[in-house]
Amino acid sequence: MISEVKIDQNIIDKIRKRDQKTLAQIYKEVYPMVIKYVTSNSGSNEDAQDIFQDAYYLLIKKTDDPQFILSSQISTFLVGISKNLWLKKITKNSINPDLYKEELLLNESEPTEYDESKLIKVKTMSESLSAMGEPCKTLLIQYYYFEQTMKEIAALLHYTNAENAKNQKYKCLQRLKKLVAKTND
Amino acid sequence: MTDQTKNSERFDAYLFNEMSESDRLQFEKELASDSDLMDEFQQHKNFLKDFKTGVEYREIKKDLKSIHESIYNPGKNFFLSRQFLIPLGIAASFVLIILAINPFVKSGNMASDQGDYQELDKNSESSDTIVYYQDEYVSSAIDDQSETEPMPGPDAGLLSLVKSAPVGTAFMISSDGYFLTSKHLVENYKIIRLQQKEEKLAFEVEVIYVDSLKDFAILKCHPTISENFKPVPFRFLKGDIELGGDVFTLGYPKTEIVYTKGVISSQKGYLSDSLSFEISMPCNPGYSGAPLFTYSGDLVGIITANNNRQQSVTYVLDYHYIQNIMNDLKKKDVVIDMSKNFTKRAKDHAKLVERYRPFVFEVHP
Repeated sequence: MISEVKIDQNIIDKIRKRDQKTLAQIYKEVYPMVIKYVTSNSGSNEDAQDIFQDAYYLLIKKTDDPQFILSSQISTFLVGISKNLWLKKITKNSINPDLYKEELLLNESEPTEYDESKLIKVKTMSESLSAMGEPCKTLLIQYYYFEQTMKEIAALLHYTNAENAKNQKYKCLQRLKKLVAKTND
Repeated sequence: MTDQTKNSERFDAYLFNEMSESDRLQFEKELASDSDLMDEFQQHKNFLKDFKTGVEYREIKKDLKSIHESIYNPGKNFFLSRQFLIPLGIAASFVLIILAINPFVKSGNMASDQGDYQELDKNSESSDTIVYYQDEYVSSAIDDQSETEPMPGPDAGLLSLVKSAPVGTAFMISSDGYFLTSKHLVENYKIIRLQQKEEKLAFEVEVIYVDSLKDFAILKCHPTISENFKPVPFRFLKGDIELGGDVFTLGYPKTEIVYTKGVISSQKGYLSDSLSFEISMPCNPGYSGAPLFTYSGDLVGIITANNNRQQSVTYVLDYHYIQNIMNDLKKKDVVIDMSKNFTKRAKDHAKLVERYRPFVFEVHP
């Protein structure tokens, strides 16, 4: 048992470094369990993919904390979170949430705690960005996330000059703030 | 410039080291003394932090999606590399293909009144010929492409718009990012470019399927592109086409989108081909790959060719065939989900056309 934990801890280092091979290996190993679970609980293949990738995101983010130590196996962790996410989703939309309530409670004893509000927050931001469309989306992402200069962005998006792009950037940011606020209401 | 814009600009300039030393000191001084400004600055910073984690989430999800694709749809060009691809030797001379059969009619040269039609008049016995709509851009592009191999998958980014004339038309069939077009436009490419000028969209798509028998191909764009699309507003017709039924198409015979109307004139295609049908509609080069709709808005086929011996005769690949192929592809994990397509009927025809228009694209090699 001790060696297994050790192996998992090694893998955590690799996930932290976003080692593509490791990420793919885990994906291949765990995803079949999640798709089985989701599709047998009134979900589609796409639902399974989305849920699993959200769970995977949470795992990746957790590894960013250098103090993070996995208390269970990676597969247990990912499947546990996926199940919880899926149950939350269907109980939210379901006509008959009681059907799943028992299982949801059961699941909460599993070592799969995650910060739900954080996930909702990033999802809201991501969806607001998608809703905004182009060129705002690219403009903001390139400037604030990839830290490209206004000049580079102006060239990319065919603005006549950096000053125009700058004005646009302010308007886009305001729009995004409004969209995010609207979703949070 | 309002104060707010100005503040926002200064915040960014400060955070991204775009300030001069003196401006920076001045800004810090103001921050220390002006608590309102400080609050606003903190809010700005917090929002940017949320923004960054939000984008990071998108980026990680994007990575995971491509990992998913690499596991479950490996060998992106499976269809191209296997039985579906026409041997390259034939493809090299594909620029125009004549299906010439009838030996009794005198070989006619219609080139003079066909204008831009490229007539591949290889077979002197031929007369009743089919011309695939396409122009000269293709042949030169083939040479270009051989130098840039190997080709990667479609790029996630938007490209700048080009002004040159497109070689043909493609259209979206599922908001998951699938497009249909004519095979002869794309069969020599792994990646091709689509453009929609009105929507200011230009992006790359991957040629994921080339039919071995009929003139059609399936394209797919990167998920980051397709997520910007609204649901596709049309579906395949349920039932069969009607002789004499009104149809229309949207395509790119020139650099602008063009609407054309026609009538279904025969339920069989060229030489009684049961997988195609015939419409009476004046068709120009560039219409290749264009969608054909009934007047009520149902998709009934893809325009493939015209008959240059008979004016206004255009051949359309029947949608039943396309549907069958799409069903077969499901077994190979290419799932084109048209169930999300939005099919509310427009009140009048012009509205319908307007709604369909953003889903029709220029094809550029």
